[in-house]
Amino acid sequence: MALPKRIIKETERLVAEPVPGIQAVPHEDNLRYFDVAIHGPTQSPYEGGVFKLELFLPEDYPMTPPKIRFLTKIYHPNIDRLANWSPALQIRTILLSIQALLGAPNPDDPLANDVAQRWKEDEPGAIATAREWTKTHATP
Amino acid sequence: MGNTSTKESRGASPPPHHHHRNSRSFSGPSSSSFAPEMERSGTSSLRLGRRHRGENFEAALLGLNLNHSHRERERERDEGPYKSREERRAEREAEKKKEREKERERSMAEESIDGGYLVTVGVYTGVEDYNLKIVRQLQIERRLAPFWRGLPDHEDDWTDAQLVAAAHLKPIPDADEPVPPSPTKPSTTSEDLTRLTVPMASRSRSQSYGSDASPSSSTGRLSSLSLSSSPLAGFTRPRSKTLGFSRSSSSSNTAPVETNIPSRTVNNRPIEAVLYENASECPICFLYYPPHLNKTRCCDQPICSECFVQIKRADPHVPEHSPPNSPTPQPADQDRRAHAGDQLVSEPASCPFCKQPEFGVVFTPLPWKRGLVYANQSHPYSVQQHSPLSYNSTTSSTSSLPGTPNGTRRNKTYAVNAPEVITTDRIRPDWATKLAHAKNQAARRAAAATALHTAAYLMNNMNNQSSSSSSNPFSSRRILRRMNNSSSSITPNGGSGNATPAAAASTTSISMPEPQQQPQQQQHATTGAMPVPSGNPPSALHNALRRARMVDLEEMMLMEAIRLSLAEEEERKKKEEKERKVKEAKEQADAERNAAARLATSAPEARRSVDVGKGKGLAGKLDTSSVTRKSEEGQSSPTIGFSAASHHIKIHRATSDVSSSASSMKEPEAGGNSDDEDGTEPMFNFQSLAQTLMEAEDDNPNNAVAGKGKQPEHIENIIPTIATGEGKKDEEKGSHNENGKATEEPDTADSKTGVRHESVRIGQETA
Repeated sequence: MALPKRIIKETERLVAEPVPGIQAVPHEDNLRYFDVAIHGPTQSPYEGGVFKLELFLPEDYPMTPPKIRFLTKIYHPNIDRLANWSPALQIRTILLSIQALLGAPNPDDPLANDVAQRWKEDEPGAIATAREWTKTHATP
Repeated sequence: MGNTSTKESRGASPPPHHHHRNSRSFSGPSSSSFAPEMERSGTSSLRLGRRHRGENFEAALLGLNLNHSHRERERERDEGPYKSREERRAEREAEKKKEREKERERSMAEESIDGGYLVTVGVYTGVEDYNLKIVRQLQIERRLAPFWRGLPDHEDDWTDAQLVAAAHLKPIPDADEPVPPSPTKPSTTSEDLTRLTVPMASRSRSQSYGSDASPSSSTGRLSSLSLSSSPLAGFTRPRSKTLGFSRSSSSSNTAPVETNIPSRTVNNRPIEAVLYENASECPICFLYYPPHLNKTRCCDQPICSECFVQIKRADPHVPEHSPPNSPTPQPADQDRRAHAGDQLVSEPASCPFCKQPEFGVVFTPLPWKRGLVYANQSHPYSVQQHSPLSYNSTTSSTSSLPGTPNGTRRNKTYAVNAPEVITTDRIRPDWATKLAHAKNQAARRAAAATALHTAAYLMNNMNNQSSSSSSNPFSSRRILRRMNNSSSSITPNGGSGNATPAAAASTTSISMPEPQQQPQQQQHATTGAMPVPSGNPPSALHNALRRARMVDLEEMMLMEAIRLSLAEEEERKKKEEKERKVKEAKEQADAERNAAARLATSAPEARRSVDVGKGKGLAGKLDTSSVTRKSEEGQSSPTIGFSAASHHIKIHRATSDVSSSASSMKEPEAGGNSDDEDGTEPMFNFQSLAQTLMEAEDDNPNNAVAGKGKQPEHIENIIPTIATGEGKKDEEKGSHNENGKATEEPDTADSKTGVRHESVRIGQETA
């Protein structure tokens, strides 16, 4: 099936004007499938890490959100808890919001409950763990 | 029945349907199914024959075959219409699709609205589940932007010729290329243009749209705009007459008649050039459209009609942030059932840009009209009355220059009920029906759960109180409470979390055999008399009779459905088991020479006798059977677990037979050999009564059959429901939802229960 113009344009724009700290490269054999690398924001426990994700644009994208998965292990209370999707959002915006989430963990809206718990009770410890994981798993 | 529901037509559900159909045709009603059916009856009769050696073997065989043929006929009668219904649906859908495709082609070739189309151009490939008629009408009324073709690219400095080429998706010519003649109509004279523009002006004059107020037409407003904008406003009435815009026609009150304004030029320029001159990008599909797109009512963002018709409510769901543990006491069963679906919600779509709920758009009509219009629009639009603010002046000033981008930001938001706002619900008026349907389904699921509760209570009751005669003919809940009291492990009002395992424990005979086959088997062997009611048939039957009166027919029907599928599955398992056993028995013959002969012949027989024995209360035989089984250990345990469970259901069937006289036409003879056919025969009776319960039953048979495949989970699913049904309301809700999820079987609305059993079972076999 022909690729919708929107996906083509989004891809073109991602390539033409890449977001700092974010790479998104479509697979050659499946242009709906992207390899994504997000650099950990500075001043965050994820600084220095490069987090690999996979992103897939389903058939009815943008009416349904892209599917995103972290491939790199990450210690974070609410990773991949994305904002409510709307078709007005884009690959770019969603990746940006993930990056922002790395910089500002929100343990009150947790996805990983144990991590969130720790984040609330022992934030320095949690941050230390996050840093450690970043070093172990996300440092190239 | 449900085949008009959009969800079904959306591609997600067809596969299961096909699967069902295929799997059914695998053992379908026609000649292909005859062989398996014969085979089955053959093996059964063989078994029977062994059991009744020297007795009324022939009668049994005959009876069995008779019943099988009964059932065969029943299934045939049943599947015939079902299959054809399926086919009809598929055909209808294919036809619909084809017709829609044709209609699209025709419409794109023949119809146009202001240089756009009345059908989607193809940005989205999914099924169009909005109301085509409503959208068409709104577009002809100029209340929703037409489906303009979105251009993949656009340059601001394109000449008219380039714009025209782009609009027709042709290669962009050089800038100095002359404008090609319009393919549909050669360039129009100014006389044409006059003719086309004037009628609207004259009409707008002739109409007094301040007085009438009908929100379904926008032409009045449009006319007022063109009045101010059209440079040719003063011209001629005769033309207007020829076009049907005369005063008389506009004041008549007939249904809208579509009239065509065929011109493809505006102000002597090709319509495409005018439209796409200052094209703007739709922020959702990223295509370039004429700068007259719909604007969101809340934040004034452009959105093309093609994207707009894609946005809709989410499917009905349970509210996300409902309090999980409300202390509301559990109302009566009936109330609970009635409210089970009420919590389902379906919020209106929210704006994709600003997330404001109740998404709606407003379309400002172009200052000129081409293509289809409603000739006799009798109900002038009433914008002035509803939004007399800056809106009109703004739009008329901007649109007075055709093709000029709408640079002025509207500084007004529209209320969702403003007459010019088109909401997503407006073009999908079936959302309420869908929600009601979902609620209905949930309520039926709740009813199914209630039926299961009742089943468990009855079983418990019969186990624990077969002799105690305290009867509560009106409240099955009280029965369980009583049971809870008697089984000291739980407090009657204890948290249902506690009640769950406790109830399960107290009802070992129902729930445990399947998840824990080995232990159960041991228990079986040691206790021997575990199936109390079977050892005590008169009192059990007595109790059952009494209970039967207090449970309504619907629940009984449900249990019947469960039992049927269980029995069918049992039949199948037995067959498998038997075949395996025969093999293994042969192997064992060498190892256990002393027991070999007995095993080979009596193993299947013993298994039969479990059922029959229980049904008839032959406790002694049961004991021997469990002993026999013990010697066989592993191989037979699944059967044991199953028989134990199905046996209880059988007792239920007995109650249902009594309660529902209609279903008892075959059952009263349940004492004798017909016990064997319990699994198959009652379907006949059941079907005749169960028409109204199909949906609810859909869940239960699936439940039951699924339970065969994944027994532990299944039991866990049911038992919590049972226990919590007794507990607090919120708990019940939770477990009910869980149950609903576990047994999710969308879109089975119109499949007949019997057939469903069949298809599910066969599906399992083939899987």
